[in-house]
Amino acid sequence: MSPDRSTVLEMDGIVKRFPGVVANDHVTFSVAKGEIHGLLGENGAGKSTLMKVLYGLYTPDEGEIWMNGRQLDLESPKDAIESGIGMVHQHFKLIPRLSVVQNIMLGERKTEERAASRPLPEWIPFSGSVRALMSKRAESHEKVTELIDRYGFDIDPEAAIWELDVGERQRVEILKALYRDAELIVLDEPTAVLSPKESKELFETLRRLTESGLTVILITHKLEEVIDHTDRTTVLRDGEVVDCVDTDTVSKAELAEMMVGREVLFDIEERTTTATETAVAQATDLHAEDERGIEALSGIDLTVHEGEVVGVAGVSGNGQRELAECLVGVRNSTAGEITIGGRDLTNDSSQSFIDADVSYIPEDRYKFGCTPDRSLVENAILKDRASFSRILLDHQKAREHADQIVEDFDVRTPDIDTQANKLSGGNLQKLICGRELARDPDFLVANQPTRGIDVGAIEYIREVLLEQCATGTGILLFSENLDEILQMSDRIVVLYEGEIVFKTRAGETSREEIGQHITGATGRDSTVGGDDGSSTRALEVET
Amino acid sequence: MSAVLESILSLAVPASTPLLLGCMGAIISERSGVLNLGIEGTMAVGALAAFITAGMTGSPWLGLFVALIAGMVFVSLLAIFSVSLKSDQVITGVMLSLLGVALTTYFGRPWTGRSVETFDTVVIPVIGEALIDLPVVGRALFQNTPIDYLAIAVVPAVWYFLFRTDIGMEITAVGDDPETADTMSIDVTRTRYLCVLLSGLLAGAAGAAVSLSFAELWTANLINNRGWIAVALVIVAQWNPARAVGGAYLFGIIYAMQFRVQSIDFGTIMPLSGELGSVYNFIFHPVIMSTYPYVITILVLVLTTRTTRKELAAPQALVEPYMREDS
Amino acid sequence: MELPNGRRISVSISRRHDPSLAIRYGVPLFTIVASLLFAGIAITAIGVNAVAAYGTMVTSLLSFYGLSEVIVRMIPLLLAGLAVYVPMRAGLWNIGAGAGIYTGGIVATAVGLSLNLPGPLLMTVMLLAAGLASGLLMLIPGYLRAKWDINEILVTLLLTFTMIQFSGYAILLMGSEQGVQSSKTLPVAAQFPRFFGTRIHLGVIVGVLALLAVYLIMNRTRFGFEILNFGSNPEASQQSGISKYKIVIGTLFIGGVLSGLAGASEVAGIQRRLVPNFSPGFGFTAIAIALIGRNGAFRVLLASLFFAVVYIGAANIELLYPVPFAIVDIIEAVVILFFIAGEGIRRFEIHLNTSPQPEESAEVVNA
Repeated sequence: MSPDRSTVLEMDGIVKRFPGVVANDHVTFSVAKGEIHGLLGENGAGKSTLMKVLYGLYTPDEGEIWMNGRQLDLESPKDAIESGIGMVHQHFKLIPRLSVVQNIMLGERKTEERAASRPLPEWIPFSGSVRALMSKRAESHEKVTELIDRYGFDIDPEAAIWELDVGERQRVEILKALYRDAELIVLDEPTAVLSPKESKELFETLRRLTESGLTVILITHKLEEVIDHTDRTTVLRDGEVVDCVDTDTVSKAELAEMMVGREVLFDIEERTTTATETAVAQATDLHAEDERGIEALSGIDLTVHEGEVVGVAGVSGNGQRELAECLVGVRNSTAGEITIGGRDLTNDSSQSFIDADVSYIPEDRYKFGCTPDRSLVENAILKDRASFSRILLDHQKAREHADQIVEDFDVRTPDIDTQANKLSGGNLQKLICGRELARDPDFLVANQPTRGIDVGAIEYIREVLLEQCATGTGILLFSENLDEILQMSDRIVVLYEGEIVFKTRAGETSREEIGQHITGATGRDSTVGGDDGSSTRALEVET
Repeated sequence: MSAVLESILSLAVPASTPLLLGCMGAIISERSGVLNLGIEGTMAVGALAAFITAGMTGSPWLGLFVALIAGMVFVSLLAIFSVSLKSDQVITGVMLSLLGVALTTYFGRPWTGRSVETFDTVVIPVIGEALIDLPVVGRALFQNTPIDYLAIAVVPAVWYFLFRTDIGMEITAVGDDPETADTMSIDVTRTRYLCVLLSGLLAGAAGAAVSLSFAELWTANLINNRGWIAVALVIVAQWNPARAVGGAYLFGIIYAMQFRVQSIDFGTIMPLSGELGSVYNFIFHPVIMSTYPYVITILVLVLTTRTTRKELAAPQALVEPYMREDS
Repeated sequence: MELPNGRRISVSISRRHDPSLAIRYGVPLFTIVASLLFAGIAITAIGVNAVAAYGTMVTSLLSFYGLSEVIVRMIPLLLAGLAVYVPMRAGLWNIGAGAGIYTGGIVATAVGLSLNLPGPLLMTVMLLAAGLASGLLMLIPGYLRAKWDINEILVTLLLTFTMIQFSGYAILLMGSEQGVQSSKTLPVAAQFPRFFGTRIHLGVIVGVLALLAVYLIMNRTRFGFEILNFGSNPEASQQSGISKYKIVIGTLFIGGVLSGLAGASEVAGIQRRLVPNFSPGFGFTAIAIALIGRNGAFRVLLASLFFAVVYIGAANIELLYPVPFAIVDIIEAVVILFFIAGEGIRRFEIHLNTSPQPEESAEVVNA
């Protein structure tokens, strides 16, 4: 730490436990005034928990927080704000209908202070209430304009939010923090929603802020950003601090290694591959947009063969969901082709994909995977109802099917008439797996199948997926768990910012190498050869 | 011709007043995210309360005042159910409307056919006296009851309240995204209660306008779906008080035409009355005309849903109860 | 809110997990008792002896004729209740049962007055035409909702009022010579036969058949399966290949058909001609019925029976006591409101909190 910079924030020995996991394990972490400090780690490393502690949303089980030499006792976000901590979340909390100024001043009605500063003439009755009715928009407008000018934000304060693009909206979120006199601003994965140009502008803005004496904490998993824009970085892994380094003194490779670790944690048995040459699913130059209309997939070429597991590694938010949904017919692509079993099914209905023997285990089992208040029987036949009915439903057959699934897939339940939402996460996931696998699909997409469930269920699901693969099903497995990818895949690809940046085979790579690609360490100005010898990354063109 | 127009317009104004007041109330409530389908019942309660008070005290103004209170008390049921108990707003509103109309029919029977002190029409001093003889619009503009003018005055007040005050801003936030509003320390519950109570106040006033100004009597089906039209009007107004004025007076004119057509044959004053006579008979038939407010609203609903940006149309959290996600 | 001794109190509401048996059974009981109490107060308030009135209601209902009248009243309520029930299972609000009823009544009258066919055939055609016409009418809100997500609550509500008004016009078109507010009387061939010397008419068979049909469809067919699952989770269902268009438009169509049958039955069975307001408030009552019966077709039957009892009971009270007929609507609305309140109590519990608070327990993991 440079001797002339004082410490603005110190989190000392923070411990935060949840049932079954220690999210923060004696984390000690300090930030100097005026620096941009990166907080680097994979999903599940503990970064967001730590920041929620800082923001008053969680109370730590142990540990202290000091700001400018004073110990803080944070019981709510309000306390954090009053202590000068501002947070810019990934999902903006803005009202599109209202203007920039209005969003910034929302919820702030310090009537008494205002009344004191600009009193009304004596003869107006109920002057306090009258004051309350008159908007303080003018004063807020002043302050906001002043902030905009000071930091060069280039936003029209009277513009409505819906008129602004993502980068501008993010700046409004930053303004919200500045307006409340934040000294320390925490940004949570800010570039997840930005284009390269917008990211560049964001970092310029952050520089300007720190030059004026503010301090910034940047939570990210992207090495690019850390190397280019931070002064120092703290790396978290599995709830613990790995190290805190001056960013100038490390390389991307070293950082990647710190993030994902060197040791091989599981014995990766040699999987005898059952893959054949026949392709069950193929995506060609696939493009797709996300909910906001921003391009999430930029030209994906991917093939999955009979009997093989292709693992897609990468942090959520790089296009995984869009790719999974396109390949099972749940989302329409904007360009490119999807072939299933040799037939072109691009943008066909989800029913056509189901008829083509495509199965899907979605990321969110409650939202997309089941009908929560219907019974297990109904959930079990949800996709294949045609097999159990022409017009009339064959209840007997359906119940037998459900019984079979419950037994084969170890679903712990009192009976098959229980409602789906009464099952624990692990058991529901096993049911969904059962439903999807019992159809004996040709092609299966599994998106984060073992996330958020108990260890027993995790092992079970991995087992049945591999068994299914051995019978000839081609599986596309999305997982944020690198070990899972390494353990289960024949081939591995890395999805980063909507493109496949790396292709390899399981035995031919290491945790560090994949880790580097996941984090974009081997980003813009390098190309990496895949197993078929082709280059998979082009230079990013900045407009 | 001008006599026809004049008779229509002068009737249109008092006909529009209850619609306008009811609509203002519905807009305020809906902007905070609470669909108030109990306006019809609240209007009935307000109407009877006003009528009885005026009958017992001899003062229509006191009647109006009591109607405001009665409206608020009645609508507080909706508030409790919808905001605190998170019940289904549609059912609650419909049932409260049913209850309001039924209760007033039930308890109001002794008052049917009686006459009480109602609001007299007044001529606006100075300007009114001078311009009252203007053809067509003279009486319509300058000779109405105080409630009619009150209704018009309420519009800019509501507009200002919703669009220029801090509270109005919070109401908009709560109606669009209660979760974000909650994060910004806005009390969602309190804001919604306030808005629902205000809607009850205005609906009560609307009821008073019907019993003490427009109809000047009490009978079982006095409100006659005016409350429902006021709710429909919110869509035509696109949740904006300024637009509500246009819609309310349009519907008022339609009503006036329904009424006047019984004594005047509109077909004769329209072009091509010979050839298109039967067409005009259909278009101007009072029963057919009574469907126009509903049909127009459906058309506006379809058109605006397709063309308006989602963020600028209905409050996004309308009809959804809000509860902080931590229990 | 702060108390004088410096402590704060606040009210908070949290979801109730596993309501106790007392609450689960107490609530419906509470609903009925509270409603009767409320109505009793209303009756007393206008100077009538509530106990005597209720006594009359019970004795009149226990007579043969009384029971038959209950069934008469139940027929359109059952059909209309089912009309709201089917879309409700799909997650849609059908406030347009009234629209279907009036459309059905208009069409049935028109067919009955104009076609010259033997009785059974004529009645069948009337029913089919009425059902079809109302079903087609409901395609409007169905399509608007399926294609553009336009709220079906408002569209169906507006259609109801439109059709009620329009029926007045239809009456004039088919008007009788006397100038009385009604259409011409239906020919005998079009009038539904009545049974057992009571007013129970053919409609009862229509109602029973409809009930069975709805039950079978919902529980035994693939379509019903899709409806129920779509109602539970539209997104997951669509991902499983269930078609939103089919469900939304299909259920609203069925709702239209059922309410059309209700209207036709009422006109051909009871009124024998088209009169204004022949089914006052049935559309709204149907919503209440469907709400209470939302878990099954047979519960819809029970709910419609209940409201029929209330209706006839009140009608009988009105014959003997100076209680205005509006008491029916009062009871109906109060029952639903207590029902909803009971639901609220079942789902949530209210806490009165005083500070200082003990340390908050660990919160749920958000991963």
